[in-house]
Amino acid sequence: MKKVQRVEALFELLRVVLGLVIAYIITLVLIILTSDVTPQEVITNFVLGPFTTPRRFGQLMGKFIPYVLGGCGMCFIYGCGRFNLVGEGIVNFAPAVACIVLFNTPIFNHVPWIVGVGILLIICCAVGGGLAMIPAIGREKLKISEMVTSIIMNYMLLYLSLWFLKSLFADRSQAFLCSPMYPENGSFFQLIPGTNLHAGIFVSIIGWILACLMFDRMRIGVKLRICGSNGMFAKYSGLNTTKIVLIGQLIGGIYAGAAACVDAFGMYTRYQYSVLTNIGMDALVVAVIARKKPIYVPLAAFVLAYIRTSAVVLNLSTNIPIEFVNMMQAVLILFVAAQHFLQKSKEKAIYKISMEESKEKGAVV
Amino acid sequence: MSLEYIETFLFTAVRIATPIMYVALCSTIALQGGLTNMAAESMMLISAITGVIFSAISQNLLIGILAGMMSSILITLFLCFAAFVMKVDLYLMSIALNTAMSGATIYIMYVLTGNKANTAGYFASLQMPNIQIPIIKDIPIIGNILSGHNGFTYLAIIMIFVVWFIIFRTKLGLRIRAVGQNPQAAESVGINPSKIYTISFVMASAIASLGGMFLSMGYQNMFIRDMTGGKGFIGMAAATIAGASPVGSALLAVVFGVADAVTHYSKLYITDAQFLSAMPYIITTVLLFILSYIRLKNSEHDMRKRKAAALKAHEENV
Repeated sequence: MKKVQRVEALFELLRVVLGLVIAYIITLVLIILTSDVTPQEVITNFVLGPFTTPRRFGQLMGKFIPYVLGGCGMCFIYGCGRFNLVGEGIVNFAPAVACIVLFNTPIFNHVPWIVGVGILLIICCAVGGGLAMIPAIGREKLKISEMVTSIIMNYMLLYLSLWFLKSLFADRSQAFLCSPMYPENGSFFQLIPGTNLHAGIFVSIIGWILACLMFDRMRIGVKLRICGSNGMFAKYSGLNTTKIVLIGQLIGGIYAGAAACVDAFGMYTRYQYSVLTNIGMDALVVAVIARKKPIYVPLAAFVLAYIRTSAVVLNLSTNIPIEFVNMMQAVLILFVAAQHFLQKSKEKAIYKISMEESKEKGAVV
Repeated sequence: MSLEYIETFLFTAVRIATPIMYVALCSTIALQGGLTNMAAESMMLISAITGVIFSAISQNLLIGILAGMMSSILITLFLCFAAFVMKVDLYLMSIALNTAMSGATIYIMYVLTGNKANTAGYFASLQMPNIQIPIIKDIPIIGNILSGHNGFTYLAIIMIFVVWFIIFRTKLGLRIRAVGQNPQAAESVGINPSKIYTISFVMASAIASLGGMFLSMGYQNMFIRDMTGGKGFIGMAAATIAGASPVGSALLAVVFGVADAVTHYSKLYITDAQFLSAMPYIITTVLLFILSYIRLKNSEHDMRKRKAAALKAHEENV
C-alpha cells in the first residue's frame, strides 16, 4: 500500500504546485495585457522584486512571521472542519488589550525584555483564545453558524479596538490616531537594523514546532484530524466531538493572538491599526495551501508573503494597484482546494499501480 | 427634537436599510436551500461597477441594470462551478471570491480610469430616479418617510413578496426547501441538489446585484472602492437571525438600518464615534445568540410535546 500513499502525496504536491504556477501565469499575463507596463518591468519587479534589496526581503519576512503563526492556528480550526474566521478581528483587538496593560499599568516599568514580551504574548494569546470561543460555543451549543458570528465579530472588534485606542491610550501629540511609541521591553527588536525582520521570528519558530508536535505527535491532533475528516465517524467511535472541536478552535484563537502580538509589536513602533489587516484571511489561505498540515505552513506562508511583497514592490514602481493579487489568490485557492482537480489522473495512476502489484503477487486478474 | 428631524431620521433609516434588505433576501433564498451565502459581497461589488460602466457607456439605465445583474450571475456561476463541479469548499471559495472581487473591481477601475478610489469624473453613470408615490406622499408624516425614495428601495419591497412567492408558492421553491432540509432525501426522489443549489444561488445573485447597484446607481452615481463595506455580511446575519423567512429578514434589515441611522445621527452629539460604530455589530451578535437560544428551546419544547402526544396515541391504541 505504500506505493499508493506515495502517489497520493505526489498528487497533493502536484496540485499545489500546479495551482501556484497556473495562478502565477494567469496573473502575469493579465498584468502584461491590461496595463502599459512592459513584460521586462513586470518580471524585474513582480518576480524578482522581493529579493533585490535587504529591505524588501525584510518586508517579506515581516509578513512571513505572523502568517506562520496564523496559518498554524487556522490548520487547527480548519482541520476540525470549522470556519471560525475571528482571527481577523483578534489581530486588531488582542494587541489593543495588551496596549492597555502596557501603557496604563506600571507593570512594564522595570521588567527585562524577555518578561515584558512574554507578558504581551500571554495577554494576546489569552484574549485570542477567549474571543475564538464565542463563535465556537455559539456553534456547538446554540447551532449558530460560526462563520456568520465570527465575521460580524470582526467588524465589532475592529471598532472596539479603535475605541480603546482613542479613549485609553492614544498619543494626542500625533496627527493620526495611534498609541505612544512602544517601550524597549514592550516590542520585538529588529534582528537586522533597517529591515522588518524582527525577533518575533523566534516566537514563530517555537509556535510552529509546537503546532507540528500537537498536530502530528499528540493525541489531540489525531482526534482533531478524525473530527475534521469525518465528524460522524468520530462521534460513533466514542470521541467527545464537541469538546475536541472547541479545543481546536481555542488553539486556533491562541495562535491568532500570537500572530497579532508579533505583528503589532514587531512590525510597528506604535499601535496604529485603523482597518482590518487581512492577516486572518491570509492565514486561512496559508492553511489551505499547506493542505491543513502545520508542517508545511512555513513554506505556504513564505509563498504567500512573497506574492504579497511582490505586489507591493510592483505597486511602488509601476502604480498597478496592490489588490490585483487578491484575484490571484482566488485562482490559487480554486486549484489548490479543488478535490476534482487532477482527480482522474490520480485515480488512473493508483489503478495502474494496484494492477501491477496484484500481477506481481501472481493474482489472476 | 422636532418632527422634521424624526422624519429625516426615519427616511435615512429606510435608505440605509435598502441594500441590507436585498442581501437579506438573497441570503434567505440560499438559506432555504440549506447553504449560507457568503459571497453576497462579491455579487454586490461586481454588479455595482458593471452597472456604472454599462449605464455610462450605453446611456440607458435598463441596459446598465441588466449588465450589472448578468455580471453578478456570471460570478455566481463561476462560484457554483468551483463548489459543485470542482468540489472546492463552498465557503472557502466564497471568502476567496470576496477578496478577489474587492481586488478585481479596483483593478478594473484602475485599468479603465487610472484611478483607484472611485469612478467619478470618468463614467457619468445614470441613476435610478427617486419616486414620489401619488397618494402616500400627501399623508403628513408617513408621506415624508415613505415617499420620495429611490426606485431601488421600492423594488426591494416588491422583492420581499417575489421571494416569498417563489419560496412558498412555486414548485421550484418547494424543491429548494426540500433540498435545504434534507439533500439526500431530495436526491432519492429525483431532485438534483447541485442543480437546485445553482438555481437558488443564481436567483440570490440577481437580487444581491440590485443591492449593489443601489449603492452605485441609486444612492450615488459612481463606484467607490469597497463600497459595500460589510453590508453583505450584515444582511447574511439578518437572514440567519430571522430563520430564513423573507418578511422577517427584510424587517430585521430595517432594524439594522435604524441602528445604523442612530449611529450616524448620534455622532454629532457623542464623541465616542468608534464605540457607536461597533454598536450595530454588538447588537447583531447579541441578537444572534438570544434568538438562537429561544429557537433552540422552542424546538426542544416542540419535540417534547410531539413525543408526549405520540406516546399518548400509542397508549390509546394499545
